[in-house]
Amino acid sequence: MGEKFIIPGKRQDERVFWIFQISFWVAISVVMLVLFATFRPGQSGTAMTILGRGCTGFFLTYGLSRVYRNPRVRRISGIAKWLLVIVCTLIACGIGTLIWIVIPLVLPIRDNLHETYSGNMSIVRFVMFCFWSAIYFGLEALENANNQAIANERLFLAARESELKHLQAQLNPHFLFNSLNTLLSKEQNPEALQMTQHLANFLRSSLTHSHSLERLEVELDSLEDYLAIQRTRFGENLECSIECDPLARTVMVPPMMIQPLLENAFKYGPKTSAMPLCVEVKARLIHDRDEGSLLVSVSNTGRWVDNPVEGGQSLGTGLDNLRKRLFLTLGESATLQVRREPDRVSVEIRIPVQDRTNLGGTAAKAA
Amino acid sequence: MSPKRYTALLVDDEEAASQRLSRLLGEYQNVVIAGSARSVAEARAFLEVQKPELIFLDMEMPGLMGTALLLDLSEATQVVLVTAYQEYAVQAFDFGVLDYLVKPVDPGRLEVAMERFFKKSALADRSTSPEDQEDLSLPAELQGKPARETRMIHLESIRWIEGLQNYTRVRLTGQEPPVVVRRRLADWEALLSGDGFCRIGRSHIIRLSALQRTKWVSRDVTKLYFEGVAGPLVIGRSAAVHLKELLRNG
Repeated sequence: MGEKFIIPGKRQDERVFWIFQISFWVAISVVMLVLFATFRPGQSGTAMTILGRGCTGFFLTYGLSRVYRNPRVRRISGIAKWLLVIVCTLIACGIGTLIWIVIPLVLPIRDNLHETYSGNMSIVRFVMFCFWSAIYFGLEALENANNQAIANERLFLAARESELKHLQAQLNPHFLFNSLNTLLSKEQNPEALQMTQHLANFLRSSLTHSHSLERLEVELDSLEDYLAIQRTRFGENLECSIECDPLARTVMVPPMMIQPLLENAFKYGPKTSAMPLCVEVKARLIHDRDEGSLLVSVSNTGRWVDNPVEGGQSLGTGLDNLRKRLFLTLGESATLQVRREPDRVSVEIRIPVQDRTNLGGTAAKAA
Repeated sequence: MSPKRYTALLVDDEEAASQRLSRLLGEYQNVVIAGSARSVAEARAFLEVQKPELIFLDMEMPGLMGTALLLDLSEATQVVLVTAYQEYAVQAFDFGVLDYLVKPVDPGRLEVAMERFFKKSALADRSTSPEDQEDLSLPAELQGKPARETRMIHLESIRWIEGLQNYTRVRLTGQEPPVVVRRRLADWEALLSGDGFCRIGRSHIIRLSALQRTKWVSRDVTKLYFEGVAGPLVIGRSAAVHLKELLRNG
C-alpha cells in the first residue's frame, strides 16, 4: 500500500491526536481533583501533585505515541503488538513512578499520595495508561479505515487511468495516424479520401483529449468530423448542423460532453424518425443581468425511446453518466434536461458562467 | 508580370507522406516543389545547392530528428513542421517555426498555414518588389450594370466583403443588396486593418465583432450570421477553418 496515499490526511491525524491527548489529561486531572477534594479534603499540596502527575502522564503518553507511530512498530501485528504495548506501558509507568519518587526528594513538595509506600498510585497510573492506549488504538483504527477507503478509491481511479493509457498505447496512435496518412497518399475516390481525413481528425481528438476542462470549441470541431462521417454514411437521409455563437466557443467544459448525446441521436433517431433524419447541435451564451449560462442542446427528429436496453446499457444510464460527470466537474449548478416532443427529442445542458471566469481569452477580448 | 513563385522542400522519410503533401500543394499555383528529401542529411545536401523559401519538415525520421535541421536554416526560410506526434506542438513554436501540422494533414488546415506563409513572405517582399500592374477590366458578370456611382459607405455598416478578382462585393446592414466596388480585397484589407475586420480565406473579409452565430451545415458549407443582416454569408471549408483559428487565438 503506497504511503503517498496517506499523506493528504496527515495534518488531520495530528490534530485529532492533540485534541485527544489534551482533553484526556485535562479530564483525568479534573476527575482526580474532584475525587480527592471529596474524599480526602483539607490536605495541602494535593492539587499540586495531582496536576504534576497529570503533566508527567501527558508527556509519558506522548512518548508512547511516538513509539506506536514508529513505522517499524506499526508493521508488527497480533499478539506481539499487544505484548509490546503492555511492555511499553509498564516501562512508561515505571518511569512515572521513578519520577515521583525522585521529585519529593529534590523539590520542596510534600507528596501526600505516597508513591513510595503504597503501590496505589502506580496501579492507578497503569490503569490510566492502558485506558489511554485503548483509546489511542481505537482512533488509529478509525483513521486507518478512513484512509483505506480514500486509498481504495484512488487506487481504483489510478487503475482505470493506467488501463486507459495501456489501451491507448496498444492502439499506438502514431502508427495509426501514419498509416492513415499513407492511406490518404494513395490515389482513390475523393469521397473515400475525405472520409479517411475526417476519421483521422476525429480519432485524433478522441485519443488526445485532456482529462480536465477544455474549451467547448475543441469538441465542436471534432463533432464536425463526426457529423461529416455520418453524412457520408447516411447521404441524403441526414440533415445536420452545428450552430454556435463565437463567445460560447470559449467556455471551459468537460471534454466529450456532447458526443454521447449525438451518439444517442444516431442510435435511436434512425429507428423512430421519418427520413431525412435531422440532427442539430446548438450552443449559445445567454445573459440575465450578472449571471450568464451556456446552453448546449442536441435535438433530433424521432421519438423518445423509453429506457431501452441494448447490450446491458440503456439510454438512461448514458444520460445518468453524463449527469454524474457534469456534477463531478462543475458542481450542482450544471443541469441536463430532456425534452420530449411528439416528433422530436432534445437534450439540453445548462452550465452557469459567472463573471466570465470560465471564458477563455477571445471572450475577454471581444467583450 | 507573373505573380511571384515560391520554392518548397519536403523532408519526410516516408515517400507516401511526401507524395500526399506534394499533391495537396498542387492546389497552390505559386508554389513549386523544388525537391524532397528522405533524411536530415539529404536535406542538408539539398540546401547546399538551393535555398527554398519554405520547408515542410517531418519531426521523427531515422537518424537525426527533423528539428536538427532548424539550426542550419537562414531566416529567409520558413519552416512548417509536419508530424504524427501532437505532443511536440507546444515546443515546436519555441523553435520559431511558421506553423505546425499534424498528420494526416487536413487540406483546410494546410491552407491556413499557406496563407500565413504568403502573408509573411509578402511583408518581406513588399520593400523589394515593384507594385503589380492591376488589371481593372470589369468581370463578365458585372458588365452591363450602371457603371459609376459615387456613394458614401459608413465603415460601421459594413458586415462583410467578398472578393471577385479585382472587384469586391460589400454587404452592409439592412435589406439592401450588396454594393459592388472597384477595389481589390487586398486593398480593403490594408484599409480596414485594425477596425475589427478580419480576412478569412482567400476571398472574404468579415467584421468579426458583428458576428453573432456560425452554423456548420456540411464539410463545404458554413453559414455566418451577422448582427444587422438577415441572410447569412456562406463560406467554404478553408475559410471556415481560418475563422476557427481566428476565434481560437483571439
